[in-house]
Parts: sequence; structure tokens; C-alpha cells
Amino acid sequence: MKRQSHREKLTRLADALAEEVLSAPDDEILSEAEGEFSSVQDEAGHVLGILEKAKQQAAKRRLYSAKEAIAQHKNQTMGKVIILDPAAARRKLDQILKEHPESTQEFTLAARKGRDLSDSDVLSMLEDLQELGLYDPDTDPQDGK
Amino acid sequence: MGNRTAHAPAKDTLTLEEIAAELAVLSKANLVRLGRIARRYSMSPDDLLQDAFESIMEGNRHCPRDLNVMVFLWGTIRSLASSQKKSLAKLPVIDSLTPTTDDSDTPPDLDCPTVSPDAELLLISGQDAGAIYSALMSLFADDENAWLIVEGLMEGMERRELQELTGLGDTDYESKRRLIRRRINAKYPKGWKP
Repeated sequence: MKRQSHREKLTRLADALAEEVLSAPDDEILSEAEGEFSSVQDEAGHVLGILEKAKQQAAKRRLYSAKEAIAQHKNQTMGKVIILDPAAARRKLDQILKEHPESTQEFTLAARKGRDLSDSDVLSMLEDLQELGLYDPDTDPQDGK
Repeated sequence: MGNRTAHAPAKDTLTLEEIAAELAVLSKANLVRLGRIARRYSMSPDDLLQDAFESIMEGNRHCPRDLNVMVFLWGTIRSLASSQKKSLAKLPVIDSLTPTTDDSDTPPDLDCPTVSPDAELLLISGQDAGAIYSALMSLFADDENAWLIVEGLMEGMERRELQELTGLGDTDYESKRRLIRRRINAKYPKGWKP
């Protein structure tokens, strides 16, 4: 209890001194500092150094946060990586196109029939369908197997 | 003190760019002021100052447009110092972990929650508050009016009350306040370190 009371007293004194330091004219502050420090320039430079260090730390943190936000955004917008064997991927593509004929009209006839498509084309189309919300690898039991 | 830049966004607080611009042009006198202020609120004034600057530049503290930037900086320093003390107050007192001097084999109370070394350091600083208070008051043992003013300031008394108490006129009171400030700065140039 006693200790807290002394802390409070020191804080009140600090408040009073801070108010005074803020309201005192510049020349008074600088002339007092000349008596306290070997060099006022060094003292000002010391505080400026702390400010510069803080700026760098804050910039680093902001950069780190921005990096995290970008990564998070990528995860949300780019969708999951589709891992299917080529045959399963073709079956899945065919199934989705059949289930959603109206939503997939823009896909070519060849694509809908799965002809002349490379394995990579098939996966790419599944990714497009994923973006359209017609395919979710998380709910596909074959995905990743 | 800090002058405002000419940007005029609609919001009522300075943007990060604006506050950074204000900090970039702090005068020599204002830099000295900030060092002084931080020293009166902490045993580790450099750390406190850095925390304050970082907190502002990370956008965690917002400076109202109608507030002087130096007053805002003071408020930030004060607030951080206060929250440090509050968080320390929640920590267990470490007296029970202090080694005993009677050479007994009694172990310290190991049920006491662990206190990190940094917090421990700060906590001891808090325990020193009484000693600092005594040393501070002894600085003014030779000057009754100065002693009364310091004690009064610690009790939160206003200037008018202090002038009534001491019978000092404006000029003498201001002169006494300068003397108080100089003695404290000379005795504690690096914060409240004994």
C-alpha cells in the first residue's frame, strides 16, 4: 500500500515536471541542458537516435504485417491446390459439367467432353470451376489421394 | 513546440504520414524535452521513449488534430508508463523469492508463479519508489518552501494552493519551481535511478 502511494506521488511529480518542461521557453530548456549534459547536441542526437530506431522497428513490423496480409489474401482468393490423379480429375470435370450445364456453358464443347485436353488443362479447368464455386477440393474425397 | 503540416484530410486525427512528418522536424529543444519527460516516468527512459515512438508510428496511438504534438507525445509516454506499472502490479510480489540471509536451508516459496527477469527488474524498481521518494525529499531539506512545493505537487496540489501555502508571489514561485526542476535533473539525469 505504502509502495503504491510512493509510486503515485512520483507520477504526480513527473506530471508537474513534464508540464513545466513543455511550457518552458526553448532557450531555458537548452541552457538548462547545457549545464546537465556534456553536449546538448549529443543529448538531442541521443533522443533522435531512439526515434530513428523506433521508425525502423515500426517500418519492419508494418512490412511484416503487410506480408502476412498478402499471404492471407492469397490463401483466401487463390483457393486450394488441387491434387487429383489425371483420370480422377477428368471424371470429376465431367461430373461437374454434367451437374451444372448452365453454369458451364462458356466452356468449349471439347472441354465438356473432355477430349483433346491435356492433364494440365483438366486441372486448370477444375481450378476455374473452383473459383466459380462449383468445385471444392476439401469436400472431394478423391482429392489428395 | 511542433508545428502542424499543411495537410488537411477530413479525419480529426493526424495520419501516419503526418505524424511521421511532425516527428521528423522535432526541434533540438523538443528532443531534449522528450528525453527529460521520459526520465521522470521510468527507470528505463530510453526504452519507454522508443516504445512510445514505435506505438505512434505503428498507428496504435492517434494524435487529434487540435492537440499539440508535444502534448500528444507526453500523453503517450505517460500512458505507456502507466500501463507498464499496471501490468507489473498484477505480478506477484517477489519478496518471497529473495534469498534469506540467515544461511538456513529453507527454500524459497516455489509455489510462487515465475516472474521473468525483465519484469523482476522493473518490479524491484517499483519497490524502490519509497527510497527514491526519501532521497528526493532530502534534496530539499535545506529549503522549506521548495520542500513544501515538491510535497504539494506529489499530493496533486494546484499552483494557487502552493502559492498560498508558501506565501510566494508569482516570480518567486516560478524561480522556486526552476530550482526544483534543476536539482531533480541534476540528481537524476538518467531517470529515477538511485
